[in-house]
Amino acid sequence: MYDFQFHRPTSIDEAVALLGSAEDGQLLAGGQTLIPTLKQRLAQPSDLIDLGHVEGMRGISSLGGTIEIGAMMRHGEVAASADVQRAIPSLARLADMIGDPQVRNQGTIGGSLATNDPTADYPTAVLALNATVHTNQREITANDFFVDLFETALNDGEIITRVSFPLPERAGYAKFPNPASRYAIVGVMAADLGGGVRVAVTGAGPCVFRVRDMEAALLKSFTPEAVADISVASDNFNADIHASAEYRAHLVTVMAKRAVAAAD
Amino acid sequence: MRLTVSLTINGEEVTQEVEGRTLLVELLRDHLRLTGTHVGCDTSQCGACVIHLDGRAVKACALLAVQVDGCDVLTIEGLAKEGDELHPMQQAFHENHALQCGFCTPGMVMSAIDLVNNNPSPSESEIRSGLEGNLCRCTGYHNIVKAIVAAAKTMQS
Repeated sequence: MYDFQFHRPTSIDEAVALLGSAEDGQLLAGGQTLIPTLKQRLAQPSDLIDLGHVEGMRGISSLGGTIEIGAMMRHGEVAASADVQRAIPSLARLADMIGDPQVRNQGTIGGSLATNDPTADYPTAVLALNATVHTNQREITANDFFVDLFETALNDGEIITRVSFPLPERAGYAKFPNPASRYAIVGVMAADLGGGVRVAVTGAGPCVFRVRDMEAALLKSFTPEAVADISVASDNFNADIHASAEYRAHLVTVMAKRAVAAAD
Repeated sequence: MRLTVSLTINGEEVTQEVEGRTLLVELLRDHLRLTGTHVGCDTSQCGACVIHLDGRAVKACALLAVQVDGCDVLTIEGLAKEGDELHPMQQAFHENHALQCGFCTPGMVMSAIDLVNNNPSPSESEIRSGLEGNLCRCTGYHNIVKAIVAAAKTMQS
């Protein structure tokens, strides 16, 4: 790992100022992606700005019709939250499927979303549940947040502070994990939002995406059978030693059926 | 960049000068000679480096030492009480022959204690899924699961 200047701000304003004055500053949340990346010398920031002690970025609150999760909440805390389990059980289960127990004890929702790894789990929940990402500058809708491979709508100096999830009528998540890393080879969240259905897919393409054909079919009938015959094109899909693009496309349909079947 | 970190390790206050890029596992093993915490894969897959950070099991190869400034760290060396009295989990690993080469054992024991702390009487399948982050390349999982079942009973009483 190349060395860097390390900073430990206690407020958002201080973190933003440090980012602004750094030559090539990088925010550090839980570090479960960033630190392995630094170890492999795939990134070389001049400054690391640790958000671990910044006030106002933790906590889970249940506010009329939404669940708000602080950006620095760890996956294990979201999975174990009685509020999340009661309001959006599929979100608690999704958090409990990320990585392994030790990664869940350190990785955070804000870090996962800001990274926008093409195989991460949380982006499907944000997109399918039509969540809003709150930052120190504005509110970003799920449709606008995820831009491309490892790319989000976040500006320089913009920090995620919390994420608010509207409560769905029902939602389910199913993933086919890479057995070694537990990242999704394909993961699908299907959500019945009451008046609208959203289906979001991770792992298959360069960035999380929605499947409109499945959403239209599920709006008529929210059943696994409704999506059983809907396939997606494998153009531009990811392909590696674990799964071809065509196999990933096949898995999208299979995981969509399972996600609908698991919805509660 | 040199930085000073102060933390509690196995109940003792420790202050050390480290680089920003020093990993927690390097602080433990290279600076403090607490070599019970192992480095296996060094890519946060294998779990040989699992320690407890403020009471939760984490991988010490995927944390910077400067991140844990002010925190409470427990390593395998901190489990046994004064003298030779092993922690119930260590005793159960001993009695159930839950190790072969022993390389994964410190991480397995630390993960297993966290698992039982969060779920006092885990089922066999809960134990197996709870060990997803720990690899045993002797493939000695069966006796590890037996040991955790036994230790969970001892730790409850």
